[in-house]
Amino acid sequence: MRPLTRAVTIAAAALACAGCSLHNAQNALDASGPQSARIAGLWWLMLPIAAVVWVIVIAVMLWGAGRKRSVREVMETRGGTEVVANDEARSRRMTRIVAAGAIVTAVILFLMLIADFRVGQALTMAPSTKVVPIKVVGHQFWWEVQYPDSVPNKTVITANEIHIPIGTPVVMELSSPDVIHSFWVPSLTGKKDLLPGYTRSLWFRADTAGVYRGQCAEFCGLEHAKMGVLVIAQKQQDFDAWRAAQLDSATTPSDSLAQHGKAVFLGTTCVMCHAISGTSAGATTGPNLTHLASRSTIAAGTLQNTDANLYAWISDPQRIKPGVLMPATKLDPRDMQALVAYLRHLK
Amino acid sequence: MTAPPLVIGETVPVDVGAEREQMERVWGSKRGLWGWITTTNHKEIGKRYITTAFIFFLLGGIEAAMMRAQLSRPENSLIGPDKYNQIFTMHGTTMMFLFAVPIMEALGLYFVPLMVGTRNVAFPRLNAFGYWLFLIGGSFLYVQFFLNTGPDVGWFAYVPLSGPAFGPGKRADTWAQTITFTEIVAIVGAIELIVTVFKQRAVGMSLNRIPIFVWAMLVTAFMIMFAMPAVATASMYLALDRLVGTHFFNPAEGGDVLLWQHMFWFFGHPEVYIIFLPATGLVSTMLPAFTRRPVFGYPAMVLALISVAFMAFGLWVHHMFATGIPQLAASFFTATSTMIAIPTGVQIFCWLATIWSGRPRFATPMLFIMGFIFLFVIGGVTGVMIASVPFDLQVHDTFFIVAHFHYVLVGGAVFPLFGAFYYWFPKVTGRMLSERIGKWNFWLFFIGMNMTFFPMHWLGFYGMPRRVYTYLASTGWGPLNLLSSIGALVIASSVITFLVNVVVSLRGGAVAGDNPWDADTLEWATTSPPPPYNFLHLPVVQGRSALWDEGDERQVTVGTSTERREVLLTTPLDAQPDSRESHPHDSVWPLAMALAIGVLFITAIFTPLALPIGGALALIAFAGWAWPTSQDVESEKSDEKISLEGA
Amino acid sequence: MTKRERVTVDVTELPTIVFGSRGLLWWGTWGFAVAEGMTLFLSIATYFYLRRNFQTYPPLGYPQPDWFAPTIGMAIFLATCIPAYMLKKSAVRLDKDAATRWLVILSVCALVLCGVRTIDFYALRVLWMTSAYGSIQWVLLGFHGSLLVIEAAEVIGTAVLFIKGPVLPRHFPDACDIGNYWYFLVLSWLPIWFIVYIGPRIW
Repeated sequence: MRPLTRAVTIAAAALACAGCSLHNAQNALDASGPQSARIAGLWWLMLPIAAVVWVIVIAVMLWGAGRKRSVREVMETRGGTEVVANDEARSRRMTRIVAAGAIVTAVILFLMLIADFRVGQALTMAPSTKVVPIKVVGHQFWWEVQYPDSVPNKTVITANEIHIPIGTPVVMELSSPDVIHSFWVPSLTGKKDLLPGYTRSLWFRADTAGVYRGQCAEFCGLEHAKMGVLVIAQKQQDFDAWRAAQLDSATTPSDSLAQHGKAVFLGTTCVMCHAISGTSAGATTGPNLTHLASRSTIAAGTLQNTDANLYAWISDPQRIKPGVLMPATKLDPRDMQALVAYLRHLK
Repeated sequence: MTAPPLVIGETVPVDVGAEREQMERVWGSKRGLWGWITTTNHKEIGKRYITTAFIFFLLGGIEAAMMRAQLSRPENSLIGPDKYNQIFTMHGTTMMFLFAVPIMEALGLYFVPLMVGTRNVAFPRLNAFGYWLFLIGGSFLYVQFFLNTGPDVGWFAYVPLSGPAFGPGKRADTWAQTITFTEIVAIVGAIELIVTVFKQRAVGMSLNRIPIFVWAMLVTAFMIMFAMPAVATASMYLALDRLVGTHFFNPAEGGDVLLWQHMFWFFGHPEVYIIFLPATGLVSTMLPAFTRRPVFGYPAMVLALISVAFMAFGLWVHHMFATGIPQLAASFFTATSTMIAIPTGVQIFCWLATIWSGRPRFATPMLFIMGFIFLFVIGGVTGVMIASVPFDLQVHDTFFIVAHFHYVLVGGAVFPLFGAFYYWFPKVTGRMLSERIGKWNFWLFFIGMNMTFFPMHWLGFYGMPRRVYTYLASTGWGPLNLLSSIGALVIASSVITFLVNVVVSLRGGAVAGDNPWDADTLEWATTSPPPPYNFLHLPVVQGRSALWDEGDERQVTVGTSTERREVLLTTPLDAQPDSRESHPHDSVWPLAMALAIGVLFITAIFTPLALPIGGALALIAFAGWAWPTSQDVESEKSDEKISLEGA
Repeated sequence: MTKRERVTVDVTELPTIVFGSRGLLWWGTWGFAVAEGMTLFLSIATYFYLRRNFQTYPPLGYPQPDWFAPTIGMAIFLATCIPAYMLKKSAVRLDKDAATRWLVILSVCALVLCGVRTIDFYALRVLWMTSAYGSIQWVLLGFHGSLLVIEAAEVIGTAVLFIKGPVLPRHFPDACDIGNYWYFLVLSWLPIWFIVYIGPRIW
């Protein structure tokens, strides 16, 4: 029986691990909004039911297998071999028990269905109050983020980091021009696919300020693993301030290194994919870099946004994200430093 | 040198040596390589089918081990994304299409004729063809993989990632053609099983006396007939999109990416039950031998099988909740997905009742059966959970799902399968597997299984998606992944233990005898291994537990030819004797046909010329297959009795 | 170890050649027909699924398929049920000469129908690579067409066997099953003909 004990210990350890729960920003059970909280609640309702069902089944099996045999299990010889004699009364009793088991199963399932439908209802009901609309477009392997506004030039375009105000529902419009992606920030809500040819919407709300991480949940190619996204939930006034700042065009740097960097940026292949408003760079294949320095990460939530990481990333993105669509840029170290300085200036 | 024919009421004399020799001549295959290639004996083919599928299981297992090695720590650089994506695609494709479905069908093709008391499957040449095609298709996939053109789009091959715009090269084509191969193989096997079960049962084995494994295979075969065409059609659309520029999945031209998902899961969900139902059949058929009583609730078991089969076609959309299905539809699929737990629950309760009221013997197969219940119920309860739309939206495409379906498929199908290996190995080889090594095999597997897959539930909650080749250290997923990877090592050691057991026991295992487990189904009524003709005299069945209900004497049939291959056909419901039908000789043409079709499918990836070339080859093979040889003319000129009744 | 056996059933007098559902091949034939029918059914389902992606049908800018020639073809197809029926009849009579005759006639029919199928493709008036509409129209025709070609090969092969080869008693039930499968081919063509050529005028 020792191996069994070991298995139980391991299972218990895993359970305990869940109890203490890794407190990180990407955890479906560490809910920070009503959506994820309700789903986590559903889990904490279903888990004990499931556990009880499982324990009963296993207990019956082990007890039934190991219990002492009484005189009731009379053996008889049939077809030249020893078998348990048929006991009609007992079969009838067992039939009743099995039928009862089936009925209890059905009742439990029915109750779980009701709980599930109630949660489903609550989650799909569209918010009636003021909402923040956000357009999210999935690309191989990054997220394009737009905050549409009725005034066209007040539309904010950014990438990979989504700022939202706390307490206000966010309604996302999800689409993809290439392959299927899936938007998922577990601490806030369940996932929704971004399908080519379709537009899907997803709404959720964050109640606690914080940075929540998520990543693409539908296999989308080589760098599916490194297609991260951050949701930065902040107080309304912080959000408003951020949004206002994002509307500004990029400023021209004052120090000469960064000025040179700007020239490097505009003079190399960077401009074929990226846009920086206020400059002649206007391509939309890659992430918009107008306020790159205001983001905390680069390469879709993969690296911290530091000078060294930017340098490494631009020099050889394939080393960090093999298969990413951004090619390596060969520049001499001085130009590269200048370029990094310019990009770090884009607050 | 034939003895005078036996007549009704007579006891079969002890000395039947001459008759056996005669039957051996008629039913046996030629010795040597030629005999090996041309044989149409269901046991020979079943054996190599099982072996081949098991080799694919080992390959899929090695792929799994490689993935676990890569994921054992964050930002590991052991395997890059390109290789990793190929490996997980190969793992899924191998385990589903080249291992799980084929090995269940293979067990059916080996044991169903024995269990229903006949001499061969219904269409022996077609059966041989099915095996060869399976071998060619599987080998093709692996050759492509070793040439670094293995598919890298997942075993589900979602478009548009697998489509012409995003899946360059021949990788996705390789996947699509492998599916075409395995789909034809599966349908061929299904037809074999259906016809064998309906038409070739022993006299007296009416429908309500069929062993539950045979019921399970029959139900599964019907599921295959309706499910496999869906994936075949879908993979045909995909191949056409990629090769000749159709637009089935191109939204810009009126195509639809969700069409693929509907078609794929309309097959994909029944697929799970195509794997699981035979496994439940294995359990129900082994259990009587180890509890010394017939399985409890035979009618309930059969009804459960049938209702699961029907329901399985009504819940595919639960794989697609995240695509944004309308709520009403989603609720319907939630309800059906939940309901399927009821018949499955009934099966489990019946097994518990059987164990409870029997006298259990804890031989290795019994351990695997109990391990199966232990693990499968875990996978079952998480299955009920993910039927819930909101809950599924959190855990869908995460490691929680990986954990869930490995509990269902490894716990629910591989455990019964290993039990079955221990149980039927003596029938197939004549020797017992070692019980001592068997216990090691079981406990290592059981512990490794839980170590590997239990932590994955939590990884799913912590946000770890499936199909990622690596993860950042900051996610905190490292320790649980390491635990899981160590568990994979334990599983690997268990499988090695099994291989050792096979090698050791083949040489020096205890000699089994006809019926080492004192079991009740017909395959134990013949020698181990069975002769090419299975039964010298076809048995007559008296009850549900054929060997326990027959009394001190076995009732048998006489009158099928000993001069040529002939099987007894019975009526589909009551199994009353109806006719004797001649069976074909061994032939090399099934192999030729498989090669022709292989050429057709494989070259179709590269050139449209495949159609005329492959077609012409297939035509030649078809002619060779069907044209009567002098041997046919010889054996069939003898007094045919023609009946026009029912024409 | 081996149990004593007592003979209780003697099957010596049972027939060795039977027709219809009493024989194995009948079941195998219908087995394949069911799997193929399922494929056709799913292709038709695909047709209606893709239909939702277009405002009008055929989509804007595509002509209606030509219905006249395919309808004639359909009538020919229906008419071939007669030789199929006669083939079955003569096979059941074990009449080798008649069966041979009807096999030859059915072979000719099969070849004619293969020719008609090429006209059917022209009548679509759309190519498979222009839009999903064209793709599914072609696949519906193509899939049924490949079944037709394979069956044509079988019919012709059997005809050759009946003319030249050693005809064994078991070939008569086989010929019967060819007739059965032919019915399946004709029957499955009807819905396809309707949704491919008539459907776009209705929905």
